[in-house]
Formats: sequence, structure tokens, C-alpha cells
Amino acid sequence: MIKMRGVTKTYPGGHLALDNVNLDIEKGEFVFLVGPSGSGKSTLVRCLLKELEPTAGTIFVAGRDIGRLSQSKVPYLRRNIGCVFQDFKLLPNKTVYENVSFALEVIGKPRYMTKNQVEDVLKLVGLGTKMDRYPNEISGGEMQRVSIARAFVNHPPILLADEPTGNLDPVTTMGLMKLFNRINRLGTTVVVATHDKEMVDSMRKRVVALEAGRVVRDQARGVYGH
Amino acid sequence: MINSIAYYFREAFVSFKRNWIMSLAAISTVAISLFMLGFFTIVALIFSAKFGGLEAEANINVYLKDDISVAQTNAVNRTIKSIPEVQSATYISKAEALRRFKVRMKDSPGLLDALSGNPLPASFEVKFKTGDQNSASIDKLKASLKTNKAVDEIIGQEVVRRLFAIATIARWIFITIIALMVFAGMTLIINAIRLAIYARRKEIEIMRLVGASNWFIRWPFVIEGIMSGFLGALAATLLLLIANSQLFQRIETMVPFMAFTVSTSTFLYVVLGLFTVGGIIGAGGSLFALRRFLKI
Ligand SMILES: Nc1ncnc2c1ncn2[C@@H]1O[C@H](COP(=O)(O)OP(=O)(O)OP(=O)(O)O)[C@@H](O)[C@H]1O
Ligand SMILES: [Mg+2]
Repeated sequence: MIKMRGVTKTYPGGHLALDNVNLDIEKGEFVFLVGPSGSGKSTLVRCLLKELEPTAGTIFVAGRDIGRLSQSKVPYLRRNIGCVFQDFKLLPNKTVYENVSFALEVIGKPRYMTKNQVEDVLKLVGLGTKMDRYPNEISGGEMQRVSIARAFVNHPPILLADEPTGNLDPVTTMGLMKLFNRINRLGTTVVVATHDKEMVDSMRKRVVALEAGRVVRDQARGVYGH
Repeated sequence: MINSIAYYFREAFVSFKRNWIMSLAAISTVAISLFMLGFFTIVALIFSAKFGGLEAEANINVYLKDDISVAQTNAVNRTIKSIPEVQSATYISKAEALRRFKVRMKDSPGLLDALSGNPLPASFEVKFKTGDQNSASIDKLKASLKTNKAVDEIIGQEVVRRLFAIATIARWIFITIIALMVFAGMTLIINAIRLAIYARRKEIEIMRLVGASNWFIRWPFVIEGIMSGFLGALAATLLLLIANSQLFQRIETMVPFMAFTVSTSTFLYVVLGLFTVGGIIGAGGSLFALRRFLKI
């Protein structure tokens, strides 16, 4: 599903954020991307979304070299990758419901056709009763779940989550992990970038560890540390 | 695509409302420029309907000397008719000239009494062919008769030439002013759309990241621009209607024999033209504002 070959990213200014990353993720896999702050997790996620261009190397998503994707095809790549952003990226002037339906609207599905779809996914993330609230009227964990609902509402084959449990308490974190597990069992390839040790250790999924932009460990049913 | 049209219009209206001060500035400028365009177009249409045949009607008179022979007169006639641009040359004898003069002056008989004999010269009234009614033809006529001893003078050319010159200068001044106004209107629309884009940059970033196509993001702004253009055209139309009733029709009542208005259908064509130009200004402005944008 995802294949990275020799991916290197140097930011303007010369900072090397990814250093010759090789990675294969199969369809339906659940992968934790771990590493200390600044190790390049977000950079890798942004490269997969083609929000950033790697300085070197190639990335294949569903067999296609996304580096050779024309500008007008990028939206179609992104429709196949749901992404939960580290900073949520919710729109403050839209309700919870609208923030989710927005993601369908912008890919050409009108509101009246997607009511059930949006309500279902909000129930799935446990926000069935808070659909009409605005982002400033819900908690951080709830915002996180809105962000997940939006990423998943279109049932994309790939779900990327960048630090989805940052600043959340352990109970909420476990709830979110169960949610990812459920989404994964529906057949979605899930990649979660995190430095939440307890979460990784408790899930026993494949762990890919980054350090200073390099893959230093890739372990099936792994844990955060060695 | 069809399913998204409601979305585009809703977003365009929301953005337009949020942005209304800038939009108002843009719309006023577009309105003024389109009003000027419409006004000058109508004035030009009125004048060309009134005086379109001016060059042809304006008698270019070749006056002959009094004591010339029939052969000399015929020679002048042949010279004039040998010029390809000339359509006709009508001989006006001294007697005919006097008769016409008397008809024209019948209201002031005292003036006629003062005339002793016939002081009026014989002449040729020259008309040019359609398409050749210009100063170049007049120059040609003048040149070909310059050395002819039977010709006294050629009258009419200066007035006509001046009219041509004034019309040309006026046209260029109007075109320049209108072009500048259209440019200013477009610049203001570009700024209004830029502000609208800036106000929604976070939304646009999210739209991109969840897979909105570039045109999906562009359409609301293009519609917003076209809306500004159309509203400008609407305001210009209202101003034109006012000008029509307060100015053109009033001139017409003051100068009764001279129709100083255009037909309703002509007016509608002008309005249609203004809306087209307004729409193009709006769409062009917003596309320009969006041009360097959506690169991710
Ligand atoms: N736009 C940028 N310009 C320059 N350097 C950047 C930019 N974005 C990130 N970096 C640098 O690249 C490195 C990797 O950043 P990245 O955001 O990928 O880390 P991360 O693993 O996601 O960290 P965290 O766990 O804190 O989110 C960091 O050292 C960061 O300072
Ligand atoms: Mg990060």
C-alpha cells in the first residue's frame, strides 16, 4: 500500500529531517511510527500526503509514484488518505457536524446526500450527541475525535494519524486506540505517528522507530523502547 | 460538479458578505467605468446615427471662377470624376446657386433686395463613395485641382477635416479613460478577492488536505468576482437609465427635430454588453488573484 525508497527530506536551511528512509506497509496493516520529538514523524506523514516533496527518493501509494503525480491529480491522492493532523485543523466557525460533512462536500458530495454517513461516523467516534457544538465548545480529546471522524468519513483505504493522543489522558487515549483498531479491522491501513510509549506498548502492533530522520528499528508486534 | 453548484454560490455569498467593504469599493469602480463605457457608447451611437453620413453630406464644393468657358467647366468635371473615390459631382450653375440661396433666405427679404445681379459662383458639389468619405479623399481632390486655373477655391474640407480630427481624438481620449477605469476596477476586484482568500486561508489549506480539487476551491472566488462585476454592471445600468431620462431625453425635447435617444433594443444591447464586460472583469480579476495560489 505504501512503499518508500531512499526518501530524504532536507528543509530549506539545510535541516535533514528524513534520511534515506525505506519502508513497506501492506494493505490492512496497523503501524506505529515512533521516535522522539523532531525525529521526522510529521515530515514523513506530510510527504505521504504530498504536502511536502522529498528532496530525494520515491514514494509509492497504491502502486503509484506520487512524485510523478500531476498537480491536478493530488486531490485524488488525498481522497484516498484520511489524515488526522497533529493540530486537528478544525474550522472554528463550523460545527462538529459541519467540520465532518465539509470533507465530503469538498470532494463533490452535497450535504443532503451525506447526512447518514456523517452521523454514523460521529457516532462511531462517540460524538453522536455533540454534533451541533462548535470546536471551542468541546474538549481537546473530543476535537481529536472530530478530526478522526473527518479523516475516516470517506472510508479511505489509508488512515494517517499524526500524534493523535498528544495531551490526552490515558483513558481517552485508550478509547482512541480502540477506535483505530476498529477502523483497522474494517480493512483500512492505519499509520499512527506518536511518542506515547504506553499506548504503543499496550497495543503490540508493528513499530517503526525513527531517530534523527533514520529508520532505526522495524519490529512486528513491537514495543516503544528496546 | 452539478451537486456542488449550491455550495459554490453559498460560499461566494458568505465570503462576499464578510468582505463587503472591499467589494463595495470594487463594485463602485466597476460601476463608474462601465457607466462611462455605456454612456460614451450611446453618445457615439447617437452621433453616428445623426452624423454618420456627415462626411458624405457635407458638401465639398469646388467653386469655379466666373469667366470660364464651357470647355474649362467640362475639364474640371472630368478631373473630379477621374478620382476613383468620387461618387458624383453635381454641377450647380450660377442661376441654380442663386435660386437655392433665395429659398434659404426667404425669411429675410430685405437681404435679397440688397443683391444686385448674381454674385454667387458656379460650383461642383462632390460626393465621395461610402468608405472613402475621409480626409485622404479630400486631399486627393484638392491635389488634382491645384493647378486648374478655372477653380477658384475648394470649400468644406477644413470643417470636415477638423471634425474627423476631433472625432478621432475624442475617441482615443474616451478609450484611454475607459481602459484606465476598467483597469482600476479590475485591480480593486483582485484586491477584494485576495482579501477573501486571505480571510479563508485556513479553510483553503484544510480543503486541500482533505482532497478538494483546485477548481472546487476556485469556483466560489470566481463566482464572487463575477458577482462584483455584475453588480457593477447593474449599478452602471441604473446610472445609464438616469442619464437617459435626465439628459438625453431632455436634450431631445429642447432640440425637437433632433432625435437624441437610442431605441430600447439598442439600449438593451448596450446593457447586455456592460454585463458581459462586467462579468469578464470580475472573472478575470479573481482568476488573476488565484493565479499564484494553490501550488501545494
Ligand atoms: N518547515 C520546516 N522548516 C525547517 N525545519 C523544519 C520544518 N518542519 C520541521 N522541521 C524540522 O525537521 C525536524 C523533523 O520535524 P518533524 O515535525 O517531522 O518532527 P516530529 O517527529 O513530528 O516531531 P514531534 O514529535 O515533536 O511532532 C525537526 O528538527 C524540525 O525542527
Ligand atoms: Mg510531529
